[in-house]
Amino acid sequence: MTYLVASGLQKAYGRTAVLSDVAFEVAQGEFICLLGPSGCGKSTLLRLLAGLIEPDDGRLMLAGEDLTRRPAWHRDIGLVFQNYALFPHLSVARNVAFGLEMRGLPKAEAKSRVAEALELVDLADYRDRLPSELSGGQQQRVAIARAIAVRPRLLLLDEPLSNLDALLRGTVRADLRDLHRRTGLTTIMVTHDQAEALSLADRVAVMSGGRIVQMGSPETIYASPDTTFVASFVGNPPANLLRLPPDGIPGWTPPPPLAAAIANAGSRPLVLALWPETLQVVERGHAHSIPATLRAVEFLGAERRAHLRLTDGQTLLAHPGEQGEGDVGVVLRGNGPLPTIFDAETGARLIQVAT
Amino acid sequence: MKIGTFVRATGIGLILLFAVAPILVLILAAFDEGRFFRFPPRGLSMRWFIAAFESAEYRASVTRSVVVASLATVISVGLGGLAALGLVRGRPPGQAYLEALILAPLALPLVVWAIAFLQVLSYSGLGGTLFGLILAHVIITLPIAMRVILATFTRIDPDLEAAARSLGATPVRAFLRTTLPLARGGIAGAAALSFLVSFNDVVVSTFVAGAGWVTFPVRLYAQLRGEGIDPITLAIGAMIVGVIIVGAIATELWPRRRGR
Amino acid sequence: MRSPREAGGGTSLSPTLSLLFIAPAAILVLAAFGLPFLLLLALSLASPVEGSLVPDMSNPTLAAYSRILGDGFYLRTLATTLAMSLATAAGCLALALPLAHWLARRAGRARRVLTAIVLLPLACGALLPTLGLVHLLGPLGVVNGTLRGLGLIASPLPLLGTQLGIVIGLIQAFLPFAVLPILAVLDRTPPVIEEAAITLGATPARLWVRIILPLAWPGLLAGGLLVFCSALTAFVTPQIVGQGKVATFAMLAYQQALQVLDWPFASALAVTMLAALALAAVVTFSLARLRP
Repeated sequence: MTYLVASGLQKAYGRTAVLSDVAFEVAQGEFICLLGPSGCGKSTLLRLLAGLIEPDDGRLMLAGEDLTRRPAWHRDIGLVFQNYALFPHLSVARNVAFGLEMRGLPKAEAKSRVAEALELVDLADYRDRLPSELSGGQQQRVAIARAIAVRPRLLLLDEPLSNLDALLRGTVRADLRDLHRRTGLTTIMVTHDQAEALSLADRVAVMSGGRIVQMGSPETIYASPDTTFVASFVGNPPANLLRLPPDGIPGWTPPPPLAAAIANAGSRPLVLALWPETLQVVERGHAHSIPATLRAVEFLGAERRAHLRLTDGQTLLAHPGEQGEGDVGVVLRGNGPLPTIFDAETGARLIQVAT
Repeated sequence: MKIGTFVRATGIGLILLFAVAPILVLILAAFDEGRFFRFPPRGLSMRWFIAAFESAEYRASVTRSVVVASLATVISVGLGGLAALGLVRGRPPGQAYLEALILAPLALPLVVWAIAFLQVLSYSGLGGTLFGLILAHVIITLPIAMRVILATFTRIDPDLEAAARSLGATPVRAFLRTTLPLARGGIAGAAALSFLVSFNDVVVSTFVAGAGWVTFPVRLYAQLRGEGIDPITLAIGAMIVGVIIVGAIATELWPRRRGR
Repeated sequence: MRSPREAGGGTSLSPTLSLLFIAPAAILVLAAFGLPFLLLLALSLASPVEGSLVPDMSNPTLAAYSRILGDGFYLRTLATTLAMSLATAAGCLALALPLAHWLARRAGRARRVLTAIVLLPLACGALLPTLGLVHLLGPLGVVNGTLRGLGLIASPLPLLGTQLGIVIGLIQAFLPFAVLPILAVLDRTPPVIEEAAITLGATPARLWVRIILPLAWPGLLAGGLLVFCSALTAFVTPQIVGQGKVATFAMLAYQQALQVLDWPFASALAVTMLAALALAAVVTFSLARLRP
């Protein structure tokens, strides 16, 4: 059952197009992440949903109502700002009550809704403090309480974790997931951090250059990227993207299914995506191994990561073996995302190859 | 929403017009060919501008204003800059009080002070002297100069000097080669502001300027009170406004130069 | 008051050396500004001596003050001046709040140019705008000329020589004093705060009453006080625009100091103005708690 439908959204500032033909659908209760690098238009899209800016073209439907030209103050959409945007002259409780006062809720009901919202973000004891007397994390929870107290039809979160220190980020991530489960609010969150998007969202919309380039479950976005951009942006580390010269990577005979797929793709320039966790460092000369030089093995606690250089200068990350620095080979382990072939010019995915 | 923006822009435009209307009318009136300005003007001419350059009396009073303002500016920027340096880079006892003291003339009513200062000057035999006039102007320009320079110094990252010292510069050289070049714009701004305030001052000058040192504003004020408006003064006023506007535009368009 | 600045990486001066740097400016201000201020009260208690500028300081007397308080003329003038100053402050704030809010939401060159336009009259001093104002408000001036040209009035509106004309002139003269403090306060409040209010359901009118006005409140008070004080002690604009037909308190002080040459009385008038300003400051500070 679709709840929010955006179609053909366009927005340009002067001659710079910020959003081009953005269309997507969201089901009620879904948690969506808009993921992309800065300048990709994700924040513009969020502000457009909130009604803070008007689209040049396109339509926005929420629960069957056309919201496109409706002013922000009549939309019933909660927005949690990146810098929280708490009213500095109002106490925590007055901040949370603001939206309820604007809706003319009876005092008693407003009071219980404020208490309920503050309870939900675990700030009941701070109701009379001023925002300036709270820590960053607490200010953010006030901002969330303020947005959800009005029981919005849509909850928008703008980079909610970017202003928190690394330690707090993990906790708040869990809190957000918990909040979503308890309130059931349809939520759209903007982030540039792919790990946040993968861990929180039911579906992720990857944005680039003012467009949604792929929208799907975190698993799909990670393991079946539609474009080289998605492949290079999602995952930590993301997939290795290898340029495939017409005569192949020097010294490498790919496994037969992959070799056939590459041959089938024709003579155009190709890019091959290989995920680090699917690659294993072995001794030089191993069957179907890519000849490479092991330059360093990075120790990351739970895992180790091998940094390699191919004979043509391209670099590669892989799972290390016992080999020391020097000449080695790299083979496919046959686990995880499938090797994926892209058209180098358009960046579009051509085929995923089971080996 | 679009209509709201338009209404708001119109309102703001009207307020801006209200704010600058006197200046615009002054310029228009200066070009009126008649002896008495009327609106709409009967004809426009440059005759009062030409007359302004030919009038020895007005030339002399403008020159006096320039001399007084220049002296006041040099003294204010010198003493104010020194004081700002002492406040930024030292921790003298009573720092906050010293700063408040030097800035006090900005906060207290100048007319009240001028009435008292007039008497003190007179009793000490300095009434009507150039010295007294300059002293009065320095009192109003010094706090302005110090405040601007203080703000400039405060904005400059002191780590730049630390970096220079770590590269082998002596503390004095580090200051001269990093902070001072970066502060040049602020110091120039302090000088321009001091000059402007002194050059335009009528409130204090009219109390302490003797017969021998009638600056242009004092002359203009006397004329407006008594004789009625001489169109030559309109032309001079328009030229002063012109210089201020050209100066402001030049500052805005001047390429931001890097300190050497 | 500013807290002591961090010495940080900057070259620091010893306390003695820094005092030496500050001393010339501090001593100058203390001697030429502070001292006359302190002497003012004493000077106002002296009695004038016939045929001499130097009054008799040996027998302090409150004669000057009893003259101010006993004569209806001075009290009436004080009341008129206070009322006109209040009107000026109110007018300035009414124009400055939307103007400052507009400026605070601009950036870059547009903001610098617009701010410069607002500050231009200030940069031209007290006299030049007044000179233009006379031609704006005069019987043959721009306002009357336009209204007559449009056939809206038969005879010119009396603007020069009236309290209304003076208040218009003072608003024009001191508008920047109101804009700058409000601008400073609004610059510290990010625009997203207003967007937050809008997404929570605040209509534009409620946004102004519930968010912008309270946020600008300290700036409104500071600007209002500054304009009020400036208007109260102004004598140039009231003299020229009022054409001598309207007396203000500062004009009386000016006349006593420079024309009548009764310096003790001029001093007493100055002290009275100072007292009125102090009262205004106290009232303003008490208003700070009434932030909406």
